[in-house]
Amino acid sequence: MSDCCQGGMANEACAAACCALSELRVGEGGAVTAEAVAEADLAALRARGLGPKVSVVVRRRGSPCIVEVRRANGPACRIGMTKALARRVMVEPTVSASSLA
Amino acid sequence: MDADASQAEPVAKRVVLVGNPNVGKTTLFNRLCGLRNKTSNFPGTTQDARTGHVRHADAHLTDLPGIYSLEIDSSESAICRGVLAGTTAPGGEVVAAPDAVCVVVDATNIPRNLVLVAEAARRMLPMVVALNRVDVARKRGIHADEDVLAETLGVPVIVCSARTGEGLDDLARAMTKAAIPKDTPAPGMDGAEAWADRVSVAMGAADQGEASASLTDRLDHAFTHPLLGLGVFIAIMGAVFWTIFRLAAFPMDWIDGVFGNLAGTVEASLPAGILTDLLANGVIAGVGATVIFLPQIVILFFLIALLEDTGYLARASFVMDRVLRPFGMPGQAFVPMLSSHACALPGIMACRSIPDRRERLAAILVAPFMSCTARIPVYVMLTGLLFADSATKAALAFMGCYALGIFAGLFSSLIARRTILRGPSVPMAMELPTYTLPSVKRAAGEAAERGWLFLRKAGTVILAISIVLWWMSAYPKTADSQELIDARSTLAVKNIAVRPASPEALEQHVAEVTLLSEVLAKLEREYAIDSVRNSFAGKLGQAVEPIFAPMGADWRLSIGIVTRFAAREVFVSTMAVVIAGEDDAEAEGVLDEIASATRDNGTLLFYPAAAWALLVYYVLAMQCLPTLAVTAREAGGAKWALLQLAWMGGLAYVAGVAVFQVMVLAS
Repeated sequence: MSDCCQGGMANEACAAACCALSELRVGEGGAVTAEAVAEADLAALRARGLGPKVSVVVRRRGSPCIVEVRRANGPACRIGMTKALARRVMVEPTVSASSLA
Repeated sequence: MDADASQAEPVAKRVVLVGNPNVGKTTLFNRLCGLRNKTSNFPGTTQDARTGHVRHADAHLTDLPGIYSLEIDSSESAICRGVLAGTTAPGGEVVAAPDAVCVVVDATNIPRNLVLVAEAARRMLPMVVALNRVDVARKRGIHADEDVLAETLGVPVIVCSARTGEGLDDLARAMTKAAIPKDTPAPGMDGAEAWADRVSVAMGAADQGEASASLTDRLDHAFTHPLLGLGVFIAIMGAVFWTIFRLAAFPMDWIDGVFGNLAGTVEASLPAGILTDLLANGVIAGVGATVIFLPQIVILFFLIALLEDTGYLARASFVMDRVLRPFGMPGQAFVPMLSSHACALPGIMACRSIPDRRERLAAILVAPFMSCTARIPVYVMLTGLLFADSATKAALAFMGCYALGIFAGLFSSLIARRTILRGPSVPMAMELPTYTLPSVKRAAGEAAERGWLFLRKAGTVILAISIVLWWMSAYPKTADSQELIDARSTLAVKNIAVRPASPEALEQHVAEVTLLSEVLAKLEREYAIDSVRNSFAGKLGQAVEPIFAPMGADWRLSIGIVTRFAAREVFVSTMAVVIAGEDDAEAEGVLDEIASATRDNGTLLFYPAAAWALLVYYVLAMQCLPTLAVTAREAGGAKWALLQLAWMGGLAYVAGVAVFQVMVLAS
């Protein structure tokens, strides 16, 4: 389990290796998990491109949380969201070079 | 088939434009249809659509609201679903499924845009895809193969750029050759996303990475920082306001002069009577009092469009979200609140950008609390009367009026969101567009369109309201007194008939004419005061005097409160007429006369407690019938306008009475 997943933010539906988007640091990324975006009130976020399995990289922490979204190896676009919303988006973090070290 | 139908011209194909927000859809529409298009609302909604005829093609085009998905729960998506299903159409258009759908795709972000293509393809309507912004895509190293998409769907896919005009003729022709898609994605969002991912990979829609990511990061960090972002926001908005007030002053003076001269010419050219009176003082003066704000509105929307183009406004929305969210409004509400400081009409119309219905209604209801420019003459007069000996104190009181309006708006939004508009806040999530240099041409087009909408309103609703209020203020006419008739004729005879024979006689003649002129002027002023007192508005003012007496208003101030509905600034000219018998408050000595006017008991008319109460009342009260008309239209019903009137009026009255009573008790 990655460090960020130990903060208690992950809900039961979230797999053990997941954490909230708000917990990632700037430059860290991951793939959005399907369970996280299933809620109806997150549909708008999904329509903007933040859907399941989409790769995200955090560009700014806090509120707004700004992420770079890239799907199907396509061009990146930026989405900003409040911290409250970022807490509800669960991601499976990509193992970064710094954490391997 | 009947004879008329068989002889009719071939009916143009009805094509609808759908696409994500910010993909250049509206620019594409303008390029295809030119400026000859019309804007109309979808029935029962605040959403509008533009329709026009495509040049060089037999197609009638409708530009639908920008959406990210056809399937999500939003008013824009519901409208697009209805149009594609043939169950709704913009006002004046045929309610039937369109002959073709043109999906506009941003070539710089194909994977996400293809999700909407997939959803549209499921409707099994003839379709054409416009791969727009290819010029920008090429610069970023994105070279997607449009043939892959065309072969997959079996529909025309046209590479184009609305900005440069590339491919637009091909697109216009393709609209009449749209085909039903042969490949439809699996159901649900999962199916649409999987299809979009598969096709975009096959198209080779990958880019070479974002070269200026570090600069974008730095700008994002600065513009959304809690303190620095707020500072930048205040500086930019301050510059916007400064520009508006500085630049708009010249055309406003010009418009004021034109309408004044026009009214004067009409009065001088036509025979005196009700028709001349109606034209000069009802139609021309009424419309002129509204059109005078056109320069501010045009400049405001021009600057906002420039800011929007740069990508800054999306970032600023997050800054203001922190400020407005505790009061139940989202960050997107800041543009409507800002616009309302120029005029509440465009401010309320700008509330359309707020996606959540409850939050949008809250913003519409409280927008008129913001101090619009029409209130300025009233603020200037009352703060000037209160602090005649201190310009600094008068300026502070003036600024306090703005602060009170903002505070009352936020407080009212909080109350509304906790009562009648109770419900969860929608967490804010926005796409942050790439920073770009703004397009002056696009901003000018946006400003012109907003200005035209405003002028249309001035020529319809506002004109009708102006005529009614003019009639109430001018009728019934008061008959000239015998004394006035005699004075006029005596002066006329003196001016024409007498030719003094000696210098002494000339001197005596001049003295007599001067004296007679003064007497006549006094009688004319008394006549003007009587006219207002005896008009329907005057009688109404006298009838409501007991209501406004607890806040220190006598019958004259009550008339001013009643007639303000024509336009807020009318209060000043009404006071000039009622107190000094002059319709120009800036005429020499009029303001002094207003300041020194007394009541029947000998006390000053504008003694401090009464002036403060009136000032507070004017900051808070709903004082504009055109604003109520726009609220009813934008909020979706007259009940919201009535609620706005009752809440603002009630709050203003309670606050005015409280200020007056406390000050009287304290003194």
